[in-house]
Amino acid sequence: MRGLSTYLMGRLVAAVITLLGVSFVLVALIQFLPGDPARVIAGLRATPEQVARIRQQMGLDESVPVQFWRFLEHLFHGNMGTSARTGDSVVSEITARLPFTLELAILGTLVGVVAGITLGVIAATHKDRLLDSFVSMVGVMGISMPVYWLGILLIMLFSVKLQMLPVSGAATLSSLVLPSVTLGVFSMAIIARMTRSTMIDELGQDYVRTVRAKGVVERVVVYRHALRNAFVPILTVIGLQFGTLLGGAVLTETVFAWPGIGRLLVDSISARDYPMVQGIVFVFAAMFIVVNIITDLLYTVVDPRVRLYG
Amino acid sequence: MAEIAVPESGGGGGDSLARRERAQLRGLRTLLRNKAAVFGILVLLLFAVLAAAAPLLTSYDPTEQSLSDAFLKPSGAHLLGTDNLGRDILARIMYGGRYTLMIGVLAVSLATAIGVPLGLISGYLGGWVDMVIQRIADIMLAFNPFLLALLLVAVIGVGLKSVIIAAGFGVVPQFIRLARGQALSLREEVYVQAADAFGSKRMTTLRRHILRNSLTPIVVFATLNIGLTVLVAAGLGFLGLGVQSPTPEWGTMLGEAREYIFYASYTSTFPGLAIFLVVLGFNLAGDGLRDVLDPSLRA
Repeated sequence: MRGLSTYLMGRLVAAVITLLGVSFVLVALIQFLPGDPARVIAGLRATPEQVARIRQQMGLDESVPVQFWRFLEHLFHGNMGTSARTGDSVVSEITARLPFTLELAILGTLVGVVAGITLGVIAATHKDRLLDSFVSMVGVMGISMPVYWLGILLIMLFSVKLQMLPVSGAATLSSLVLPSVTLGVFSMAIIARMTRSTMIDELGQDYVRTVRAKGVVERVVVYRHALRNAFVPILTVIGLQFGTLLGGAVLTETVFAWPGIGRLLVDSISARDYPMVQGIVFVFAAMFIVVNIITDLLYTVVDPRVRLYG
Repeated sequence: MAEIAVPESGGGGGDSLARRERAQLRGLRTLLRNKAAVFGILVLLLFAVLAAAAPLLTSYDPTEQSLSDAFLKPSGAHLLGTDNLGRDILARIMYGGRYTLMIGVLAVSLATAIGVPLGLISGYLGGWVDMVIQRIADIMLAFNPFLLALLLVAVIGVGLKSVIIAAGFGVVPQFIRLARGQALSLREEVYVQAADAFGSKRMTTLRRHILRNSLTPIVVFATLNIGLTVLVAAGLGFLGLGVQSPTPEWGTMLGEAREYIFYASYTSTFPGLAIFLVVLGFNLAGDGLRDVLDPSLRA
């Protein structure tokens, strides 16, 4: 397993470099904020001395490299500054609301993966027939659907008309249903398209013919043999679309008044609370990077032929 | 689908004009046989006509308020009803199409103009230039298109110009990736190596051979990305961080209508439907173009 740990180290180093780059962007962008950020944070009635003190506290009077270093130093100590709006610690506010976003992201991914793979397999096993066209249609509609509109339509149908599910909030288990489905549809469409094309490739391979010739039941051929081998490209897509899913979470949380960090981000942008924006965007980028390392590692579990560390 | 292929303009010479025209005609016929693509193109044409001819097609002003006409249900006078300020929703959707189509096309043009040169240089030159550009692309990808757009709007502020810049920048890394892949494979072509061997200037080779031969996949990819930028831009509008009211931008309309879903759901239904249809149109047209021009892009 030494090879694997070397590989893991390499991935971690790359991840750290990307996160450093993300941090640098977040710090450097302050320079482009219109007006004086310290002024905005201090509020309208602040005296010039107060504004100056805030500027110094935030390190805004320093050069970008110095500010960048400060940001990293603070980050290392688990400190991302204080919210300009509430004065609370950015880290504590994010940790309080992050679980809600994680819950939504995990369930949304689950919906996308289960529904997407199922649809993709159905399309591949019914290639060029009616079911295949139907799945293609669902797929292209899924990637064209504005997630915020889908959320509104589902609320209209299930909460207003049928009164089956709650409109918003995160109070009960049933309030998870609509947001997860809303968030999962885009992933479902992407995964279904990928599953279809890789499954069609796999089903045309020689080993599938051999297995079929042995008289193995078709269901076993499809699920145990072909799908297993098709899983690596599908996993890659699951990892890559996770970023889009996080973007969708921001919108979904807003539609359903979900108390996660996505909605906090929107509120913070409206309030021009830049320290909070910095913190949340950093967490989103970190989540994306971690998920992609995990999917990489899963390759070896799913497909023993893949040896990441050659 | 297989008989396709607009000829590779590779070495320049080779195919006669007539042969090229025949191939293009065949491509067009393949495209027209693709019912989904035709549907997509028709939808786009419909919205383009509605947007361009809006003043001729409706007598309502898209921004004029008339509080006594607020929340009128769809009827003969107002085919799609009126919104909370008594504005005709159909008129707002027709005029709003101008913004949506403009944002989509300009944002993707911006992303192409930035991403393609970077990607081609990255792939063709290789070495440390490649490494630096790829790290930048990785960093941008870690944000993903919508978050990157949100972050930019947080910094440069809201409004039409900001939305175009934000939505465009959001997809820049995707264009870098695509162009780099093209340059990497074209670099190995005989005619590129010949140009290099004969001492052609690298920038000349890049422009004359690599860029020219990457145009087809770039056009296909750009079409497929217009839908995505429209979704991003309308998403910003939905959050109140995009094109500002009273401009009839569809995302902004939807964001405002959301408050009234309980007693005037049609105010949300139609702007959302418009966004969905236009994005669907671009995606179907893009899929069709890809099948005709460049099946290798098929994911």
